[in-house]
Amino acid sequence: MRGAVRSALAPIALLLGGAAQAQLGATVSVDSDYRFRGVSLSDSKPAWRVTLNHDFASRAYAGVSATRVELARDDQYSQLAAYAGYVTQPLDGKALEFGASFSHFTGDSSYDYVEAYAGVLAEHWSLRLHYAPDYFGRGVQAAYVDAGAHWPLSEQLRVFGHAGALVPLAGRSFGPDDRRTRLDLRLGIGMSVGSLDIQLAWVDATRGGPYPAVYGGRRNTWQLGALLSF
Amino acid sequence: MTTARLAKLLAALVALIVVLLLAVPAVLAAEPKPGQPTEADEAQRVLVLLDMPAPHFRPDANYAGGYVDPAARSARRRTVNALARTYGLRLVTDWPLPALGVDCYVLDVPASLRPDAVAERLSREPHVAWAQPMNMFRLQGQPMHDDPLFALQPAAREWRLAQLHAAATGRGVRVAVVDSGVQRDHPDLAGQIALNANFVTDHADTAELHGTAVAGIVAARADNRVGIVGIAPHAELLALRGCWQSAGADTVCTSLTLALALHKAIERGAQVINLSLGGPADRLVQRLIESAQQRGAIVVAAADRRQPRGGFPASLAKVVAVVDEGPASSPAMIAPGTDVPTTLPGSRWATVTGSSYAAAHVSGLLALVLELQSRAGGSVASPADAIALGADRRVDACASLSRASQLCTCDCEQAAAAGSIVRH
Repeated sequence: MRGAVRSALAPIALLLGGAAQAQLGATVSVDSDYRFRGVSLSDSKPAWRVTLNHDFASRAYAGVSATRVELARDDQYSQLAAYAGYVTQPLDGKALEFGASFSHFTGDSSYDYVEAYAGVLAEHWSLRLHYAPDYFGRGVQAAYVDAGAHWPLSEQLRVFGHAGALVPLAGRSFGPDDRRTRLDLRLGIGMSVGSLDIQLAWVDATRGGPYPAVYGGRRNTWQLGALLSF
Repeated sequence: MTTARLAKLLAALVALIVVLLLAVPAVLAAEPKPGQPTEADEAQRVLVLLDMPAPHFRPDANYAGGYVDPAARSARRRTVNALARTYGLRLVTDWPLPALGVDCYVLDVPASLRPDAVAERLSREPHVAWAQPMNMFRLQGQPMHDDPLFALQPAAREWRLAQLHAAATGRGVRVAVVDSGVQRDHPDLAGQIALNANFVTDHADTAELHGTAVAGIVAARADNRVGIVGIAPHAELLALRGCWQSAGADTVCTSLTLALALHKAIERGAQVINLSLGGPADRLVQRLIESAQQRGAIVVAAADRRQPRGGFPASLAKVVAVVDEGPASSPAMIAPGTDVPTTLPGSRWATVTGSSYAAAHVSGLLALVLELQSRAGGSVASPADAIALGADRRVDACASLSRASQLCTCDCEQAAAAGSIVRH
């Protein structure tokens, strides 16, 4: 798997020039429920996350993050994610983005997986397509379409919305639910005050879809999050 | 965790965010405002522009979801604080300018140092996109006459305004007036202003002479039995206060206040931006003007006859430079700007003179041209094509509209005889 990570990140490393103008930032966040593509990865419990991000003058970026997850009841792991990408110079206010991420789960590396993504970014919206050849290490190829938008209400307040579709493409299936496309939705309001950012969002998802999916718990919930940047 | 406990937790969290949403702005509002800076204070400042990394994918669901990445912004804040310590400066405020992909920081320079020299040294720092002194701009209006409004508007005669309005009134065209404060409830302006925004936070937001006068020329209400008729009475007027009237009745602006007003004009998709002002060449203001032009906006500026090529920003490429009387030493066009009756604060009207008001006429005329071109399904090839000029570089309003619509606007008999355009 280390080889896979190196392969995924190697092209990005070539872009990491201009370190003199790089901007390093760190964030610590807490969510009332860690919802990933509409599914709780924390058994509907609060979860923390620490992220380090580096933006390079060449418009490349890279980062790592760690968070607590609970993929099966009372099986707690830490998810370590590394990501890197590149954003092109905007043309008519729109830029293209390419990147890859790798997730490793301490305690059970069978869930590890790599994902590549590409998208279009504008000032108030973004559209990305993610592709994972082995989604959560379960032998399923999956694509995820991710559309997001936000609008400022004032200097501090903004509203945002996100819609996603997780599509199983090929691979193993454990039942008819696995072969479904799962849609998820996130709508909310956010507030930034200095280094603190607070979000309140309504999250919902349809049934089934590739693992992990909503098999038990609630498919919709309010989610509160706070992020502190350094 | 049981469902009941989760519900309690969520209820507590929701209560917390409601308290924060209500309390934090109140706390911020309760903070004492800093002393109002004088012109000398403003001139002793520099602007430092730091590149803002493009927004991008992040794995944290709590990411702000906007152009301001909170972690990257903290990094830039650390950078500017380090620069302030190194150069002995004081950070005053900061503004994101996403249209340019930069964050703008305002810093006070000690009296013992020259702001332009500090800016030059800061520009060489590896983290800095560029730095510049805070320039001061002065609006181009002449002292107005305080006579009652009885005279006809020059545009009514020279431009045959009533005939122009039979063809177009600027409907659906957004015109940004970057100027001093506009009296929004003036009888001739009430209901005409689609957006009012103030970027001069250090001076009380109030109705001011220059802004109210320019706004009236552009878009005063028509057929309301009071006052005057704007050149584009149905345009969507964006009144962006980037300048203020100082104690000496001079109207001034800074690089920052102008930049913020221009940024708002870009953000709101202004199709015409009126800048009835002039000052020293300014990189930040120039970049925003170019950004607006790249997005299709036409920028109109009052030209200063005493300056080469009309001064800044009138001399910039593709900026429509306007003066009030000929002969113009610069390539500026000439539009009505002498003894123009217009709106003034205090719900009054009086006559004004100056290139500022000539520029306002052209901004209004461009709104009419854009309305006609939009109806015809076309677009402006270049600002120079939008306005037709006579031999003495005087604006020919009728010909401008005829060219935009390919229909006769004035002198229809003559035009029909010549067979050049279709009778309207």
